[in-house]
Amino acid sequence: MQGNAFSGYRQSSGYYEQFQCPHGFVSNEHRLYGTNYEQTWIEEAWTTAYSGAFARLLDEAKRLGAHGVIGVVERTAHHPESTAYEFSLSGTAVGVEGIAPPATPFTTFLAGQKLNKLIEAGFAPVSIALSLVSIGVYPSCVTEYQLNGGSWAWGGVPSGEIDQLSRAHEAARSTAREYVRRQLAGDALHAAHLSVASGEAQGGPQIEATLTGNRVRRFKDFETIPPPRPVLRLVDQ
Amino acid sequence: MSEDLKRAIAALGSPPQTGTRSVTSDLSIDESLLLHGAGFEPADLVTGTSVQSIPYGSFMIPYGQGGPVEIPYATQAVVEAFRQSAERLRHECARAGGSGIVGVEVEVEIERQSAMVVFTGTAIRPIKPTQNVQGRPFVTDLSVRDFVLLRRAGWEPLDIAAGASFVGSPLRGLRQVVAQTSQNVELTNLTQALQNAREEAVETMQREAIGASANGVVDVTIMDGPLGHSRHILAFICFGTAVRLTADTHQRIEPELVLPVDDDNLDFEATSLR
Repeated sequence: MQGNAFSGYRQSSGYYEQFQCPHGFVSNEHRLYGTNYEQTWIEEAWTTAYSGAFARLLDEAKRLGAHGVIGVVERTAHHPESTAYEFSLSGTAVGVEGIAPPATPFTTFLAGQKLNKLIEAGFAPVSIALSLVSIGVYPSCVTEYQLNGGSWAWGGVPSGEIDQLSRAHEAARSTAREYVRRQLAGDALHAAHLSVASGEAQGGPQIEATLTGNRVRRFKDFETIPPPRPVLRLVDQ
Repeated sequence: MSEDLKRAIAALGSPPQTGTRSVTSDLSIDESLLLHGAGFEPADLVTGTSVQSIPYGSFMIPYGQGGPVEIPYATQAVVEAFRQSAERLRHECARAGGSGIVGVEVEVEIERQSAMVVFTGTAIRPIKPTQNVQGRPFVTDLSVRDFVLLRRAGWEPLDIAAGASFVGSPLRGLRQVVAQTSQNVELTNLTQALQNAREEAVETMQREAIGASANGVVDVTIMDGPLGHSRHILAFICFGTAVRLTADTHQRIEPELVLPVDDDNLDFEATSLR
C-alpha cells in the first residue's frame, strides 16, 4: 500500500520577525534590519505532497476494506533542481474480525509489540501526524558580525546571545509543534520525533524542523502497573 | 486483547475530548506506563535553544605562546548556552503545567563563531494535584526508567549541570618537531591542554551543581577532543543531572539477579552446513 505525490513552491505569509540595526545609517552597504521569515511556500509544497500521498494511502486502504494501516513508513525527497518535494507513504493494511471498519481507517507508525502495548494501555491509534516548518534568516548587521566576524563599533564583535538565530530556532521548533497540535483536535501525540536540519540558503541560515508522531485517542483509563522489580541480567556481552 | 482492539476501533467513531490541551510526548508506551506507575503523566513536548556568539579570532593563539592557553570566550559561550536553554525549557514546561522535564536530549554544536545548545524533552506533571511538586521545574537527561529508579532510591533530579573548557595547545617548535620525527614520544602540549580543559570543565560543572543545592551529578556525558575547525584547540564539555537526596538516607534498590533464557539465537548460514 503506497501513496506518492509531488508538489511545487507557492508563496504566502507566516511567522515573521524583524531585527532593527542599532547603528542608524552607516553606509549603503550596511543592513538596516534583519528578518526571520517562515518559508510558507516550502511548507505548502510539502503539505500538498504529504496530503496527496496520505489521501491515496487511505483510499487504497478503504478499497481493501481495511480497518487501518500499520507500520507506516514515510520518505521525503527534495528535488531542488525542479523545486519539488516527493513524498511517499507506505504501510500494511490490516483488518479486524467481528467489527465493521471505521469510516476512515486508522494509520500509525507503530506495529507489532508497540502497537499491541499501545492498545492494551488504552489508546486507540487514530492517524499519523506530521508537520514541517521552514524558517529563513536574513541576518541583521549585528547577527552578520556575530556569525561571520568583522568590526563592531570600534570595539570588536560582541559576545553573548545571537538573538536572531536563537529566535529562529525556537520559532521552527515551536511552530512545528503548534501545527501538529492543530491536527490533534483534543487527541494526544505519542512517540513524537522532532528533527531539525539547518543549512545556508538565499544569503542566510535556513532551518527546517520536522515533527512526526502518532495521534492516539484514549478509550479506557490506564491500569497502573505494579512497581517493577529491579533485576540484574546475567548475560555475557 | 481482542476486546481492547474492538473498543479501540469503536472509539474511532466517537469524537475526541474537547476543551483540554492535547498531550504531546516523545515517550514510548513503556515509558508512559512506567511514569504513570510512579504517579506522573506526560504534559507536553518542550524545547529550549540558545545560540551564543564566539567573537571573531577567539580560536587564534598568538604565535610563540609558551604553554596551554584558555579560550575564555568559547568557554563562557557554551556554559551560557546551556543555562539559557535550560531556562527556556523550564519556561515552556511551566506554561504546559509541568513540574519537570525528563529524557532531555542534549545537542551541542560548536562552530568557529557560535555555540548552540538545544534541549528537547517531555514535560511531566503529577497525576494527582495533591502530589504536586511545587517550585522550580526540574530538568534531567535521565530516561524515564532511570528517573523512576532514582526517585525510588530517595533522590530527586534538580537540573542539568554543565561545564566546558576550550584550551589551545601551543605548536611545537621546529627543533622539537625535527627531534621527535622518528620517535614515539608523548605530545605533552596536547596532554597538558586536555588536562587543563578537563579540570576547568569539571570544576565548572561541580560549581553549577553546588549552586543548585545538589549532592552530586549523575549520568555525566563527556564530549572531548580537538575541534573540527581548529585542531589545535582541545575542547572538554561535560554535563549530567544534578541530584539531591530527599529521603533521610539512600534507599537500597537491591536488584534481583536473573538468568534470562531468551538470548539471541546464534547466527549461522545454512550454506555453511553443506
